[in-house]
Amino acid sequence: MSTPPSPSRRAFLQILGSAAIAGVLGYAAGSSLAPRKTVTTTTTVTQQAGAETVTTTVTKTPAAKLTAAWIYVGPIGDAGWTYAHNAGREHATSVFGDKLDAKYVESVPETGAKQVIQQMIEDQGAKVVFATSFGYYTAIQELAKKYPDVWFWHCSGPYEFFTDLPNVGTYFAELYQAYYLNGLIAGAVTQTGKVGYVPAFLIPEVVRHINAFALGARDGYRLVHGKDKDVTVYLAPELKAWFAPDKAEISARNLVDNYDVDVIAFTEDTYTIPSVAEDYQSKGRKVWSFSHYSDMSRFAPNAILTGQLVNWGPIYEYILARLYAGDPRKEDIWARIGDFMPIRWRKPAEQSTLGKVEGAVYLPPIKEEAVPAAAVKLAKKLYEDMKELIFEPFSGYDPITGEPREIRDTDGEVRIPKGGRLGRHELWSDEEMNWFLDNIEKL
Amino acid sequence: MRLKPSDRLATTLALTASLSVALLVFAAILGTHGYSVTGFARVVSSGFWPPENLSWRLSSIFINSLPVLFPALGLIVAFRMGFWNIGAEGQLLVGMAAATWVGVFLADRLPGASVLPAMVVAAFVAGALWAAGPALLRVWLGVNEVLTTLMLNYVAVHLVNYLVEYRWKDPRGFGFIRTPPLHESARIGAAEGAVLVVLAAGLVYFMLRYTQLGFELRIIGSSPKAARYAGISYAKVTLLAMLISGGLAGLGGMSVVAGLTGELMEAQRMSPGYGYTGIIAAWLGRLHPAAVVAASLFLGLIYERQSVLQATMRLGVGYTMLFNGLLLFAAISSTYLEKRLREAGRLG
Repeated sequence: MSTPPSPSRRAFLQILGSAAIAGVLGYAAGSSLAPRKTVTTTTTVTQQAGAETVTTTVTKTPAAKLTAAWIYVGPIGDAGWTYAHNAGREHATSVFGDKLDAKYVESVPETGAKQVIQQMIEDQGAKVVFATSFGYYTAIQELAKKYPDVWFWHCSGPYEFFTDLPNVGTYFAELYQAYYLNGLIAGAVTQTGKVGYVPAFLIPEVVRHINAFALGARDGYRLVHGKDKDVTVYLAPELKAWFAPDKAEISARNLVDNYDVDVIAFTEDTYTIPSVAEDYQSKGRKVWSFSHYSDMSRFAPNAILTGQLVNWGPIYEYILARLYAGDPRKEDIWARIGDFMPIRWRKPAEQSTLGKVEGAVYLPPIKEEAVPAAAVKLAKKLYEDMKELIFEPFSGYDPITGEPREIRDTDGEVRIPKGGRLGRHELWSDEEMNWFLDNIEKL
Repeated sequence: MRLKPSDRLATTLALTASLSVALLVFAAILGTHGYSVTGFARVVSSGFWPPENLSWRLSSIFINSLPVLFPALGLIVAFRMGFWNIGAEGQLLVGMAAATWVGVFLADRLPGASVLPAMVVAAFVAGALWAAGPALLRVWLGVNEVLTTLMLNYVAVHLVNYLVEYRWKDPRGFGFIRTPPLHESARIGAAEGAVLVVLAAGLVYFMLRYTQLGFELRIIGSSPKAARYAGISYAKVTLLAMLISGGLAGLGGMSVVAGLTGELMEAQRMSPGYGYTGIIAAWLGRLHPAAVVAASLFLGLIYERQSVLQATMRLGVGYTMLFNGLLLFAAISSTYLEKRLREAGRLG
């Protein structure tokens, strides 16, 4: 056991002195940052409302230059969620050029969000904050009150979290339609009749995607094998992290090795599961997966059937454009297939644009050589129908026959009655979207 | 214990030399990775410049230093007696859980002014109890405290995760694993933090310098054998020292929920290893309370500027961890260097 040092007061002062000298050196090296100036003009709009005169004062800041801060929950190199948001940020930079100072901070845990966002506002002069993780919502709730002049955009959060906050908007690119189509392809492709899903968390968003995938898989399997057959969807335990490549790999291999699964869908922010599928393919075992949020085919050129991709660019462009125009608006943007597309009229299946980059939510090209032609055709037809919300996965209609049908959960309870259609509350709420389709087996 | 002038020189020389080497190594790494060294210095010093909004930044730096500062103060007490408490992280986590329990579930039923004191007591007691286990095992059975304190850190991680996931999860959180937010009266700012720091640092300083416990503790630290001959109870001193050490680490946990996050989530989201960073702060400050406070404030500055380093320089989080690691390396290697310098001084 060594002797712990116990310095005297003078020794301590020397320590402090060293620190002070280091501080002075840093100070000397530091050059002052240019002071920021904000010019604000106030426009008063007077409206005649019946007998009363309502005066609304709108404060408009001419946005010569705007500082925006993107807060990312993962690293931008994850090739998934954060990568896609960062691509959206880059799109915004390319549109608005030097009028936009588009800062970002990556790998911000939910616990650190409040701190980082405040810093971006107080220290970096951010006037608009894009908080790109559901878990940031408590930070936004608190900070939106504290900084009423700053616009906060929360990605994925239900707008009910922010109803009393006029400077908070919500946006999301919703993937359940794409997951349904992925499931359709998976069900048509599987040789074992067993497909898998690896979820990050079992929150309503992911449960919705799991059910959409399982429903699609059922329809794809019926299309190829006859209408009385069904596929089993093995649902792996939640990873409890959005970014969890190690756990995702173990989970995916478990599904393949122990449950004979040959198509794996997932909600995790990296390309781990496609690359696991690719590894099996290279060893001669046909295992398939999907691109998630961004095109992952470079990590798995043989194993990707299709996927669900998001282009956040048009959404960011829209939100910022309203700010530049001096007319920001509180709204809930919930982009689905068709939204943000220049032309959203559906086309015949043969002319389908499935596989093209369009809108905010789209699919990468289907690996047609590996998928039965009937399934490709149906996927294209339904994709086109989805643009106009004519076909809705969570509805009581069979897309193959067009007949009404019932959808039941694992307890046998009817979740979608014949001819019914789930609404926003049923899709969103954790009191509603907490069931699993009756072909799902939870591990 | 007064040091001879040559020894004081040895301390200064050793610390300056090893810190300089660490900073040079860090600068070299930044440089070879294509980052600007002056840019790094500028961003770090931007904590103090320009003067606009300075008070916000200073209080932010201060609040960010608390989760390291309290455990580091506690570690002084354990390390001074040669009790190698590596468990500040775990003690911090259980303190955090206890403070959350008061701040979320009890705050409604308590009078407003008593919420913070109740949180302080709960966090301190939880951290102290967590530290008492290894202390008792050591004095009863001679179990190596390095192993027990370290392993209890992992137990604490799972305990916090269990509580937040299965006991305290916010029913309105859409399935997200987090507790409801702490009550308004259970939040601390820089002012409350400052009061706690002064109290804690004062307690440690006074205890070490003016109390019998402090005296006995230092004797054990410098010579356990001499302490035994002098009739000092190793068991009593160890237990008391660890209660204080763990309790202060527990306060660090409270400062995380009450000062930074305002809610409890899973352990790995709550702490990037504050308890371990506390070890760095304790050694950088050479186990002197005021110097440890200064070292913690410096580490708080690095934590606080981290996101600005990212936003303006694209410097990843890994570099901050690397920087902290180099500082610990410098602090520890300086004690070896100091010893050699002292020996050289004595011979010469």
